[in-house]
Amino acid sequence: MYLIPKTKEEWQNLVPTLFKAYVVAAYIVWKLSSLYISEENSPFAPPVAVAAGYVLSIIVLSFVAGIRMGRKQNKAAVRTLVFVVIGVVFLSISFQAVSILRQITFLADVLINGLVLCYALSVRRSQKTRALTYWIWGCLINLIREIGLGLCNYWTPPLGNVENNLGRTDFWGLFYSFPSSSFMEIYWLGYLLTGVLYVAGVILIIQEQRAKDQFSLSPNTAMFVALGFLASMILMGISFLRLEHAELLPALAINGVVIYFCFGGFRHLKSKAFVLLASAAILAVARIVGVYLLDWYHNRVHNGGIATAEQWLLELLLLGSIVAIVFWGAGIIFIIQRIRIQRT
Amino acid sequence: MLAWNDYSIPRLFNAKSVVLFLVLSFLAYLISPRSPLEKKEQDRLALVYPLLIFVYVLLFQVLLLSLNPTVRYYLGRSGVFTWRINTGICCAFGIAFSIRIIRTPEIGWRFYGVFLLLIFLLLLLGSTMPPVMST
Repeated sequence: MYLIPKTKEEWQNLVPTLFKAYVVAAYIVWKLSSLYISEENSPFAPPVAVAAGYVLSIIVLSFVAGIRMGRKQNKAAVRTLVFVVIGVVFLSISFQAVSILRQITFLADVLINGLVLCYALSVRRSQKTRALTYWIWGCLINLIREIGLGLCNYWTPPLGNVENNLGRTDFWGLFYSFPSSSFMEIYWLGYLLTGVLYVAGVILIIQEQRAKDQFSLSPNTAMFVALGFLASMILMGISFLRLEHAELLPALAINGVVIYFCFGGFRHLKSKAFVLLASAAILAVARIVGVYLLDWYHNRVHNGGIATAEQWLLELLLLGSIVAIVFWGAGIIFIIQRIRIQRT
Repeated sequence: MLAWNDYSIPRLFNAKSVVLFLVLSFLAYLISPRSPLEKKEQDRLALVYPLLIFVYVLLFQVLLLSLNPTVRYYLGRSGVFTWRINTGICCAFGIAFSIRIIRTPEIGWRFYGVFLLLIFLLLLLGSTMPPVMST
């Protein structure tokens, strides 16, 4: 083991390696430093400097990936591109000192959905299963809504929420012209549709695996998905008007269906993927109910400043949602792997 | 709770109109002859479309439901035209999907299609009177 490069090749790889290290470490170090030191006194302040470093790293690493691709070193190019993606994701999340877990939830959501999307797309080339189509659409919608939330004026400075964007009249100004209610309705409708598509995919896979060669797709499948979406939309309306929480009732219904079918799937197919999916659904239910109860306690019972215990509970619920996202991604990937192995 | 009054510059359409048009066009593609779905599946799917649009219009155009719990959305004078365009897009697609249901051979579904068509025509007529106007 030695730290100083010796050969010419090692010297050539040093620059990309340093940029890769920056991409992975800079955001986390800056975030941790701003937790204990005020933002002005942070060694990396202002955050624009950290963001500029990310922009430079992304440009350099993309250039390196291009060169490696030109030299037919595809594996090395893909490895470099992974760091470019990590850089883009770090760049797109908030640079303000808010909860790290909140940022990680966003990151986990984007990364896991991206991973499932890529894997499902690659498997779908050889196996045209409707469940895969539903999951691909689900992941795509989820990615659009998560990244869209950042795009539409909700980005915090220095990367977004620029006042000049509000009065823009060019075509791209359309992205910033969502009235606050309109974007949130599209965001939540996307959430419902994603949930319904995931559930439909899980139910179809269980039916397909149980029936094996005798399985034929019902002509009512698409109609049931649309009806599921309609039911969740009505539940969302009731939930928001009565309980002031848009996601409470539809999320309980969607996750309840997932738990029911996953237990059935595990009983018949003995696949651990269904245990993971059911665990993810239970964690999601726990988070939603927990947030609702915390909100109820804070606004109706406690009615004062935010207590430390409340903050800790909220962080704990966020941690649960990160674990749920990981479980969900792992479960779906295991199921897709099972389909691929069975068909080959 | 905050109140959001729309005092923006009056315009023909906004981002929501573009999203609505694209999404509804995609739904129309799913039940068109170019769709990858089978004919029977398309017919069944088309039955739910008008209901989806109706519930959407009711929640977000008529009741002006704001899903941000801290903000109550009020329609201002400048936002009325965009509101009419958005409601018009929804009603136009709703009417088209209802006519598709009327063209199916089953008599029961034809009555259902006529009923939905009447509802969308009433909504279109009602869009001349926007719901809640701020002063």
